[in-house]
Amino acid sequence: MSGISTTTRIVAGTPIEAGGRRFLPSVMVTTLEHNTAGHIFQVRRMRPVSVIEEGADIKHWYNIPDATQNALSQMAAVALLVAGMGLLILLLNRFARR
Amino acid sequence: MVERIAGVADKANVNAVFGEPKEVHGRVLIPVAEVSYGFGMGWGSGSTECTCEGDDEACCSEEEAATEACCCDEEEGAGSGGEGGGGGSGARVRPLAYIEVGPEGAKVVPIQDEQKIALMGIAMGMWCVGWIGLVLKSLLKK
Repeated sequence: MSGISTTTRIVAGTPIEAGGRRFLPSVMVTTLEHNTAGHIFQVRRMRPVSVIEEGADIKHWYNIPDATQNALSQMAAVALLVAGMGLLILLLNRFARR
Repeated sequence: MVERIAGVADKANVNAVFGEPKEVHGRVLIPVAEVSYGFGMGWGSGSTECTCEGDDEACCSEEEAATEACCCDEEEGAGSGGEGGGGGSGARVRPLAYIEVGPEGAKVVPIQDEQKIALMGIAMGMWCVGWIGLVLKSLLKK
């Protein structure tokens, strides 16, 4: 569809002070938008990427994983693998019978 | 309405991803979530044009042309129209993790959606059983 634009960018959030430490968050913002005469829509997804902990003399980087998505992706990969193996066995069996 | 929708967009800004730190049992917890929102609206207008084509043969006959019900009646048909519009919006917040800050340091604790994983697990189990059954049926067929 024409007129739909998608942009992805990494944005730094406001620093968070917690427990005597300072955290700098970063967020991946994906925007899908369409704007023409007569209709307009915008969908925005903001996913946390990482947090940097800033101390007096240390700097730690923490990745923020999407544990649910990772588990679902692993299951989908296993399902594909099972289907691929099954298909391979079926084809080999068919050729062996000829 | 546009201002209202814009208000939703402003609230769901980047800082909504990381929540306010909360102190629980001597530890500070920072909730982290994935935030999505969307809105859309549309509007339009149209006018009624008098057409004497198609099924309504009676309308197009000379005798019926002047009746009130006829679409060819100039006073009733011509110049009338309408306009309208509509819109909607929605937002979703999905918890991903929390950052636990204690005396020994900070750590990120992921949060899993157990229900979604369980449903996917059941679907995957059925998928695997189906494939294994298909392969066994093919191998055992004489």
